[in-house]
Amino acid sequence: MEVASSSKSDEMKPTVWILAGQPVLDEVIAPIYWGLEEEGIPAELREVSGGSAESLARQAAGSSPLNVGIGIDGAGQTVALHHRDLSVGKPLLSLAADELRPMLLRQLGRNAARLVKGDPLVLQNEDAARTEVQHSTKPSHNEADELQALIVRIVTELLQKE
Amino acid sequence: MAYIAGVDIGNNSTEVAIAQLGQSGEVRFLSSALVRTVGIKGTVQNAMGIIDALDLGLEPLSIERHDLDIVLLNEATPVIGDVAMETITETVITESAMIGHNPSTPGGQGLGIGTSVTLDDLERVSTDQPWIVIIPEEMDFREAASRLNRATSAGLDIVGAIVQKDDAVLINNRLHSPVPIVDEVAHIERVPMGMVAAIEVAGPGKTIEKLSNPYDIATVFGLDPEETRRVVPIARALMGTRSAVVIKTPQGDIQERRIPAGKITLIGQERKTEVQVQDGAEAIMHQLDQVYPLVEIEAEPGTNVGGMFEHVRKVMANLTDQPVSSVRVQDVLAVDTLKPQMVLGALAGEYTLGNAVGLAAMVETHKLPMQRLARKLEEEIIVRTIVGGIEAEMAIYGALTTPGIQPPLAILDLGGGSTDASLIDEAGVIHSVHLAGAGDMVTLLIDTELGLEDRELAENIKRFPLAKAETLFHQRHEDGSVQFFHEPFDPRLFGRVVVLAENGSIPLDTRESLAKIVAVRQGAKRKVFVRNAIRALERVAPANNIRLISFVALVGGSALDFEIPQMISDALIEYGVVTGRANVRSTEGPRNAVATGLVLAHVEKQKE
Repeated sequence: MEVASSSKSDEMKPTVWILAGQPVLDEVIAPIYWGLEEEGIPAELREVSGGSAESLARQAAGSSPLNVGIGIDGAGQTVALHHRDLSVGKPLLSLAADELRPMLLRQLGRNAARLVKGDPLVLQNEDAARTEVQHSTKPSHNEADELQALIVRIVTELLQKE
Repeated sequence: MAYIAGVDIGNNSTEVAIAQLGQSGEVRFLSSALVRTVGIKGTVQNAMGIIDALDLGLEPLSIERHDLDIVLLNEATPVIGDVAMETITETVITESAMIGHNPSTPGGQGLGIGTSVTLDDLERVSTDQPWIVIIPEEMDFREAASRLNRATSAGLDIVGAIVQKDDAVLINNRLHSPVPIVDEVAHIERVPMGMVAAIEVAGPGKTIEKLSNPYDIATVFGLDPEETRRVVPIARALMGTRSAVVIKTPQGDIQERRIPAGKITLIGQERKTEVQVQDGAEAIMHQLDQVYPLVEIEAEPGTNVGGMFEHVRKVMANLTDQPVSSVRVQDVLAVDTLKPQMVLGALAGEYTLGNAVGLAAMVETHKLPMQRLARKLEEEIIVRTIVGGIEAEMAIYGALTTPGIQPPLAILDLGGGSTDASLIDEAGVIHSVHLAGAGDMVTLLIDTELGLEDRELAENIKRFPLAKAETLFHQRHEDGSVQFFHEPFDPRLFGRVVVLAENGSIPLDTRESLAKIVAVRQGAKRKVFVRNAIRALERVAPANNIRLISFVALVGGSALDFEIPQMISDALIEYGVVTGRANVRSTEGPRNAVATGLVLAHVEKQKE
């Protein structure tokens, strides 16, 4: 996995920015990268000292030439996807600690790329959910329920906005 | 001074016009109202809706129901339409032989031809021929890539891969020598091993060239002319896709099968003819013209069309208390259409476009029990209620209040179940016809061609324009204009084609482009309404010549459609006819024509 260095010279490369608080956990970062890579959108990772996932995501979106950023908080507890035009504190998608599994992380990466491309987001994918259930190391997880919970949360957030 | 109410009970809506009749016989219209029709038109259940509509019209006037002197009902046309679809071709794969789907992100580029082999068996195969590797979902993409790289280093000629998960780009990016890869193949276990396979991936923004051409498929697999003929359905199914796989199996066969759809018998006044539904819409419509005027149409029992005919007969029989055998189908409209169908035996949910024929039928009988409804209403509201006039004639009288119109005038009533036309000539004589096929048929065609299997959604696509949410804050309308919003869209709308329905945007869960959906919608409207407009006008026109009609006014619900009036106008312009939406009483638009006509006709009768 290529992790770009944070030199000033490549700041204007068209990439999705990922800002991650230390320590950066590979099992969280890698699936996000794969989601972006499968969709063909480059990303670059910058490590920072701290901050909430939402504020890091907003910051990343503000700096990304593609206007899309992902934030991962220092403890590796939460992940958020943000767009530069969205208000602070209102990320497009976010994942809580108990949602940080490969399938959902990859989906978040995929959605970051799709946000750049203007393609419909993948919010429900039963095939992928089934695949994840079959190969999950923790078979007790019910992906479908969690997906539903995620969607309920997104909808609730949106409703609160209005 | 007296108050009069005209009431028009339609299939979908009930309309009211309330007027005041002065001492010297002058009519002043006071208000109009519109509600949904309760129950099937012409039944006593309609009374509830009529009372609602009357109250709605009276409320702003501070007039009570009992202040009305008379309520006039229309002699509703006893016409019911229904629609059905008959599929006439389908593609059947008897052994897995084709994958032609559009994963959103295939890997690599180009054409690869080799023998299918699983990743596990790769270590045991020879180096003297090219291979196409099958990668099941259990396999992590990194592991898959490194095994492929090892095999290539060992001298194996790997020319492509078929992957179950959405991993094609990830695998391809990790290969030392990239190959075309097709992913998201759900039923990968159905891919036969040890068979010659061809895989093609086109570059971004392009579509495949080789596997969509029967002669290239013949070249790849060394097919003889007879075999080439049989791969035509494959080639057709693969046209326009970005990636595809074709596998040749010894017993495998792909057939385009014609499904026996039965025949219909057209019985005219002078002659009788049979036509096979599978011969298509043109053949049916041609035969229909030959036997016109029509007395009855029969369809074979056990077919969809036969079932539909039975259903409309039954509904009409119940409605009018007549035996089913006495209800006759008096017109049909047949339309050729394409129906996306799952390929039987497919590997990744591929579909092909099968041919289908949509049929609308119309039954007409003597009289609906309007008198019964009038008595029921009279009991309920204690106001004298009479059946005031025939719908088609009343609509003409109403339409004549449109500024700028004079006879010979034809009206086209574009409804849900039937398309009706009436003509009034200079002498005041009125002719009318009722034809099968209207709004419901358009909905059926949209539903079928887009493979929605959701009539309500199809209805919304018919009624409202489309847009696409291009960013989180702006959407582009189908006419190309852009609209900005202050609040971001729901993530579920982003990037999707949406229907701008009355109660908000409805996202469409389809990969079809906006342009394709617009084309289907407009095509469906033309096939039904433009065709029926011409058919209906030819029948009522003097000497069947549309040029002899000076004015055509559109009335009814579908006249309010955002594009149908223009389509009809475009079609009629070459006949030199003034075509437009009616503007009843200069204020009501295409609405309220019948209710208005009832009041005017009643007043005329009083004067005599």
